[in-house]
Amino acid sequence: MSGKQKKTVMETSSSPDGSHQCTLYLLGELAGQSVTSFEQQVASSPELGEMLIVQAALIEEVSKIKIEPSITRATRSAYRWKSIATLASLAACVTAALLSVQFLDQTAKPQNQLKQIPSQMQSGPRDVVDTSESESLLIAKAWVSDFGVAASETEIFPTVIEEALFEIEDESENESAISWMTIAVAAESALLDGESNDG
Amino acid sequence: MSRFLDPKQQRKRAQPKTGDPLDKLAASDALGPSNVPSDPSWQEVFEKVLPVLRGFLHNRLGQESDVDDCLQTVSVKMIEKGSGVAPAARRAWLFRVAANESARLWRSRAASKKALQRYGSDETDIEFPENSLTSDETNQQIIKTLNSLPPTWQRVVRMRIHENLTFQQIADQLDIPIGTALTQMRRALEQMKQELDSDEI
Repeated sequence: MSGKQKKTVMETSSSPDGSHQCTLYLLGELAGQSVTSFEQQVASSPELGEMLIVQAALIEEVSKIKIEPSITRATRSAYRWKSIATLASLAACVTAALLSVQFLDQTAKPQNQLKQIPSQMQSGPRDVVDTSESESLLIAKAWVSDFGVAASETEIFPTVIEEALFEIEDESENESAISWMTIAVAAESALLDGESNDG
Repeated sequence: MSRFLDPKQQRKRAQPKTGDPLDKLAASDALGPSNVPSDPSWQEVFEKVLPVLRGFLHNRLGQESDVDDCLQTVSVKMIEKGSGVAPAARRAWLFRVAANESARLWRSRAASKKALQRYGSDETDIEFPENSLTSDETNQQIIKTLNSLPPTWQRVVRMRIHENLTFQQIADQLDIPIGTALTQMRRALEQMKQELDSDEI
């Protein structure tokens, strides 16, 4: 406590009653001349000494009880921020939980599962056919190759196979599973036709 | 020169006489060496209250030798049991122990009938529990009495005694004049005393 503060307490308690002066002394709030004066008074006055003991008993008993901290201005501010932080955390948890539930609901529906497919996969049956076409093209190449066509002849495969591919490009998606075979047969027919034309 | 020794010397003298209170504290599982109230603040408190304590005991006991014996016992109890005392209540605790010990000492030496009539009757003695523990019943009474006070008074009492804030700090925190804080504390203690007296704690 600064000198100014001590002076303020002393001035405030310049003429208190005995019990209040005892309280201030027991709490260490008397200073300087007030303490000297109080010491002399206690030494000369048994009544003041007994009053001191009564106040001491009261203060000590009060100090022993377990209580919650008081809501001072500083602690009130701390409580306010703590409450805000708690509410914000709670709101964040609830929001996260709701979003999780919503996400799970969306992903559980088949039509929504389709939405998860990249856009290039959703642009239409043509693209699906394109994907299966590339696979079919490879399988057809391998099948024709196994069929015993000479390497020089296979050089024209891509062109022949692609031409055959255009003919079946309107086929449905379900038919794409066997499209490689169709492509291969068409390509083989084209090769045979070419051979017969060549003589 | 006073026969009374400072707390450090008291500790040395008290050990063989009282069964080594420091050793008992250090050996205790609950209380480690750091809990022994040997910090300067306790000694400072004791030294600061010593003049008033001596004056008070002199009024009660009369003989300087008895005062010194009583002060020695108080310092030993401070070493033994002072660790659990709230900082704001240390002075009060020392005076309670001194009052208790002076009553005990006087009763044990009740040779003077005149002194017995003046201080020794049960009506005038203030009895304090030796181990300075409050019974649950008394504790509940104090809590009840404290809670019955106006909230502003309760707040000042709690800030001063339990949070050990000075009146100036309380006034600053609550934006009230220091005189208001002092008045609220005084009225709170007065009212508590009245209610506890009526309940005869």
